[in-house]
Amino acid sequence: MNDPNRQNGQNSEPAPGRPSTSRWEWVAAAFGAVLVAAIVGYMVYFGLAEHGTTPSIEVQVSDTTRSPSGYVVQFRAINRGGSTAAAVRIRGELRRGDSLEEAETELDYVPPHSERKASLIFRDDPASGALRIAPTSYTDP
Amino acid sequence: MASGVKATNGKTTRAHPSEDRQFLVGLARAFAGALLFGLPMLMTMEMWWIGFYANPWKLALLLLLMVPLLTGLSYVGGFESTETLRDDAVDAFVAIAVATIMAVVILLIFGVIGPDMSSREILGKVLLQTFAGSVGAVLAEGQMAGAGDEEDTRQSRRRREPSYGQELFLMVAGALFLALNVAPTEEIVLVSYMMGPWQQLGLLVLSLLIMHAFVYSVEFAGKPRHHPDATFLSLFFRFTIVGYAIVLLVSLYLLWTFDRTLGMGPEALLSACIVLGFPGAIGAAAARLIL
Repeated sequence: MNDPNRQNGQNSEPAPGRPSTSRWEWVAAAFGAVLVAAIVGYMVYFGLAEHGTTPSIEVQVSDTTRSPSGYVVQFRAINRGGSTAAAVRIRGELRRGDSLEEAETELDYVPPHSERKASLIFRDDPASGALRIAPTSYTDP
Repeated sequence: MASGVKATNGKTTRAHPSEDRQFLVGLARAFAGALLFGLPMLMTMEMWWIGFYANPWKLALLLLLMVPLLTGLSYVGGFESTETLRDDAVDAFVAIAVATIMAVVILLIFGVIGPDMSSREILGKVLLQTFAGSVGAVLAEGQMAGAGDEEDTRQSRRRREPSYGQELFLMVAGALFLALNVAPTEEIVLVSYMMGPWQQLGLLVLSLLIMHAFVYSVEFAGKPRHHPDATFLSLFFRFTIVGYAIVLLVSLYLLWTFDRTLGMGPEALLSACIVLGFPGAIGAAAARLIL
C-alpha cells in the first residue's frame, strides 16, 4: 500500500527502520495494564469474598423538614450485603399513643455497599412520637 | 462546513461561484449526518428526563468538552487535510449549530419540548441531544462524500495515518459516542446488577478480545498499516489495553455526568463501568477503523 503522494502530506510516523514505540507509549501501556489488572483483581476478590451474601438493608434517618404536605423524613438506605436488592419496600411507622400513622416508598435498586436516598411524609410531627423506618421486602434484580 | 467546501472544491478556486452551492451541499450532508447519528437518542425517553434532572454544571462541562472533541475529530477524522486549527474549530461550531437546529425541530415535532415548558427544561433536553448529532454532522462530510470525491478522500486518508496520540484520541471519541448512546438508559445499571462478578470478568475479557480482534484480525478496510512488524504483545499493551483503560474512564465520566455514580459502592460502580465499557470498547475499536 505504498502511496506515491505520501511525501506531499504531513507524515506523523517516525522514520522507517527505527522502533516506533516512544517512551510515553509504554507509560500509557503501563497505566492501562495497572488499571485493568486492578479491576480484575478487585472483581476476583469480590467474587471470592462477598458475592452471593444476602442484601442487608440498613435505614438511617438523615433529616426531617416541614413542608405544606406534612413532615418530610429523609433517610438513606444502605445495603451492607454482597448482592443487589431490587424493588426494596421501605415502610415507616409513627406511633403516638394509640394512633399509628404509616408511610411507604419503594427503591428501584440498592446495589452492594451502596446507598440510596428517599423520603417519607407524615402528617404528624415525627419528633412527637416513636418513628420506626425499616425495609419490608425486596426482590433479586 | 469549511472542510467540505474545500474538499469538494479541489479543482476550482475559492472564489468560484459554485462555492456557495458547495457549502449548502455540505450543510445538507451535515444535517443528514446529524439526523442519522442523533435519531436513536432523540427517541430515547431517558435522554429527555436526564435533560431536566441532570446537574446543570455537568451538562455545561459536557458541552464544553464537545468543542475540542469535535475540533479534533474534524482534524483527525476529516478526510480533507484542513489547513489550520481555525478551520477545524469552524467545522466543530457549524456541526454544533446544525445538530442543535436538528434537535430543536425534531423534539418540537415530537412534542417533547413546547412553549409551555421552562427554558431550563427545554435547554437541558436540547443540549444533551446536540452531542451525538454534532458528531454525525462532523463525520457526514467525509463519510457521505459522493463518487466524484472518492479519489481525493482516499488520498488524504492515506496521507493522514494517525499518530499514537491521535489513535488514543479516536478511541476516546468512539467510546464516548457509542457509550453515550446507551449510558442514560436504565438497562446499563440493570444489566450490571444482574451480572455476578465472574460474568463481569468474562465481559471484561470479551471486551478486550473484541477490541483487539476488531482492529487487528478482522480484515476491514481501515485496518492500520503502520505496524507491520510489531509483536502481538506490543500492539495489545500499547493499543488495546490502553484503549480499554480509556474506555473505562470514559464510562466512569458518563456515569458521573448522568448521576449514576451517586451512593454507589466500588463493586457496583466497577460493574456499571464494565457494562458501559462494552459498547464503549466497540465504539473505540470502530473509530480506529472507520476514521
